[in-house]
Amino acid sequence: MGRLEQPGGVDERLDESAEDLFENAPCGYLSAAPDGTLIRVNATFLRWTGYRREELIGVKRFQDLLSAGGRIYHETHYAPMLRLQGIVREIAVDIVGANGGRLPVLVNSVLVRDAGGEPQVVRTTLFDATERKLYERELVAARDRERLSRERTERLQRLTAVVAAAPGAQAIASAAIGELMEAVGAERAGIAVRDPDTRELQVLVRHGEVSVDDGGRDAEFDEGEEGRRDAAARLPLGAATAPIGRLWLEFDGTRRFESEERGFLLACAVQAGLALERARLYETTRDVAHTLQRSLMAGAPPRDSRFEVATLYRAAVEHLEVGGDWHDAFLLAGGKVGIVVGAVVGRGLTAASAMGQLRSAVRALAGADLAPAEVLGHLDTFVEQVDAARYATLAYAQVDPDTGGVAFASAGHLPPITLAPDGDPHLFMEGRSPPLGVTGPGSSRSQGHFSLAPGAGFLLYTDGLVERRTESIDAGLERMLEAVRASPSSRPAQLVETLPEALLERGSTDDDVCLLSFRRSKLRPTGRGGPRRAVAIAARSLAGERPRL
Amino acid sequence: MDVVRRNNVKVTGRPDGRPIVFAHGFGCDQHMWRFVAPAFEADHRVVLFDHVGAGESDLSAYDRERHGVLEGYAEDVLEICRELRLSNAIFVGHSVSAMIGVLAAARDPQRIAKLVLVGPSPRYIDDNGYTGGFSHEDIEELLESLDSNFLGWSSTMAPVIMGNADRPELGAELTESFCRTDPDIAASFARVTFMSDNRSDLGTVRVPTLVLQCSDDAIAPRAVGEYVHRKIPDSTFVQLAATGHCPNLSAPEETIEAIRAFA
Repeated sequence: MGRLEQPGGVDERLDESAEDLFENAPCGYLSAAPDGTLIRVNATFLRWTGYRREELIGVKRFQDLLSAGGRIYHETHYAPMLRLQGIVREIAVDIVGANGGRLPVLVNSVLVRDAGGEPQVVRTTLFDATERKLYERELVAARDRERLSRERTERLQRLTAVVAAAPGAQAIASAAIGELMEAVGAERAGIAVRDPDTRELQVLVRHGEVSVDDGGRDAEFDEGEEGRRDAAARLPLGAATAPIGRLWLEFDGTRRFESEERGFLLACAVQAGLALERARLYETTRDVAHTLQRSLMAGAPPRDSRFEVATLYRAAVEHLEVGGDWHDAFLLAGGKVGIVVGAVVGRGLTAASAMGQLRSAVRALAGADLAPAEVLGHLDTFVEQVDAARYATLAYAQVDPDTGGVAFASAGHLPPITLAPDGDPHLFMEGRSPPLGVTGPGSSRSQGHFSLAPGAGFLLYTDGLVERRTESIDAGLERMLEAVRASPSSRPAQLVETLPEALLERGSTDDDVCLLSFRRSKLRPTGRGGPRRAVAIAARSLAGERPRL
Repeated sequence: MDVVRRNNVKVTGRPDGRPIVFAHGFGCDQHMWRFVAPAFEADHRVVLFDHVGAGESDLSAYDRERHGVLEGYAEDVLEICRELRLSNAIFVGHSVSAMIGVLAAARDPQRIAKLVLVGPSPRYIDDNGYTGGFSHEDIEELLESLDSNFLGWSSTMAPVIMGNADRPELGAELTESFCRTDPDIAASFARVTFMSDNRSDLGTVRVPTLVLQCSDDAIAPRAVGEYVHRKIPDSTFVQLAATGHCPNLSAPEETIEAIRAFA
């Protein structure tokens, strides 16, 4: 290089020959016929690839020197572009050398045409792109990692959302397993939770023959052994400090678990576990509420030859919380019967316990030999102290099975349906006043009376049986009357079966349904009517004389 | 949906001529036909289009599910036929479009009444006794090759394609926009193209079919072309002297003659 600084200009020995410039240029030169057959290559290219000149010239085509993938790329991209635009730049391909080694190169080509526009020769330069290729690989790998990481985040978010929306432990476990198997391509999987009492693992969901272990808090990532053992991940479910169960994933063959993937799987197992734990707590609360509700409504209706009572209570399936509907039937002093159907506003434990209190209050007041309107009047005072019972609706019928006389009062409740001995139904619209606690204590409640011939009866029910969101209550009542007429029998036991079937839309289970059917027996039992009837009449006249509250 | 805009459909030639539809293969766009299609304008109604994802098609119309199988592309073709009210058309499909034509013709032989399959292959990957010419590894390598080539390319081609009068240097780039496609879509299309297996669809073709086989075609070797000919009942096999996979570019005259003799 020092020679360049000599006075008198450039050293003559640097006046390179064009031949040497071509042969030993710092890039590969190729000339090829339009079909790719090599016509001339330079020494640099031969040095890079290890081919001898005679192995290439007139023997190989440019595309024959490419890897299989590169050949497809050549045919589908390079060749068409060269024909269409006469020039191709910066195409990245691998040249397969004489010994099978690969040289990543960047290719630039021009198509030389003759005067008539016919392709004559393709001139190509190739630049060694080994370093660039490595760098690109890193870029591609980084891009792929970034994409994978983004996908995992999205997966985790989706799993969290899916398990949060799933109703119940079984559904949560199924949803979590489904999402996870898809996310990591597992072939077999299972989820188990530990029974709080026995400490045993109970499998909730299992896909395929997954082998289960009980590793407690430990997470195990087994990459497997070729031909001997499949890869598997065995993970604690829920919070790491207090796992509530175990999650297993198994793969076909061996598999690596990158640290990001391990983190992702552990996070999924935590989320699934937390959701299962929430579900378990929720189910426990719900079970308590249902037990409470059942115990509050305990007690079979009285058995008596003078009448028949049948009841139905069906809890809404859509709601996990209990409702506040109730029914009750009890014997009163003097041979009468008290019949009640009511509904407390709201759901859950509060509503259920308010229902229990209200039910007891009705029994206590009815037992004090008060007329139905008086019972409601006292209840207005009662709900002043039991807030959750306010605005409850209630229908109370005091029946004398011996005479068939019925005194009735309703606090904002749906009208009873009376049934003639032949089953003909009518709405009884008397004895109606507002729901409990609306008018305040001291205001008077109205009372109605009807009488039941032997074989006649009536129905009390809650709105879940007749109400539909899309129609008026009158239409619902009309449908109810129609269903009663269509019922093959008006026996109470039959009606509580056929009516819900006829009235509730298939799958419509969004409200509790409560129904009570009463019927006076057809044959009056002998030897009992006399004294009881006398007492009943006395009680009624007594009630009539009592001042209203 | 505007099918004409979606597929960048171009109609030339005689409005009352028998329709001839040219479909490009994987890797390029309708420019593939520019040495061939004009020769048919005197007698035919000539229809050119870009598959969704290629050329100047509407990229937003790309649907991973629909275009995840060749049937989706065949449905696109039939929608173009319906939109243009084509019937009794000759469908010329190059490379993967040969199979797209097979699927479309089997579905609606009223609209597509003749098929010309240029360099067809019903399955590229070797399979138990069947030689497609490639292994799974080869196809993975192609995908990598696509990846590394797109990496060097700008992804912001749209403003360039739109042109810019006060920046003439962009004109040079514009001429190189042939065969440029959205990288993700190109990778998906490559997968669909090279992973598909349409061998069983060949027997469903009921329309007269011409198989144009190139010499030395690295993508679709002669044995594959002969297989296609054997499986399509009413088919004719013509061996071209043209070499490579794109006779429509390397030997347009020979290609035109062969199509004309059949059409």
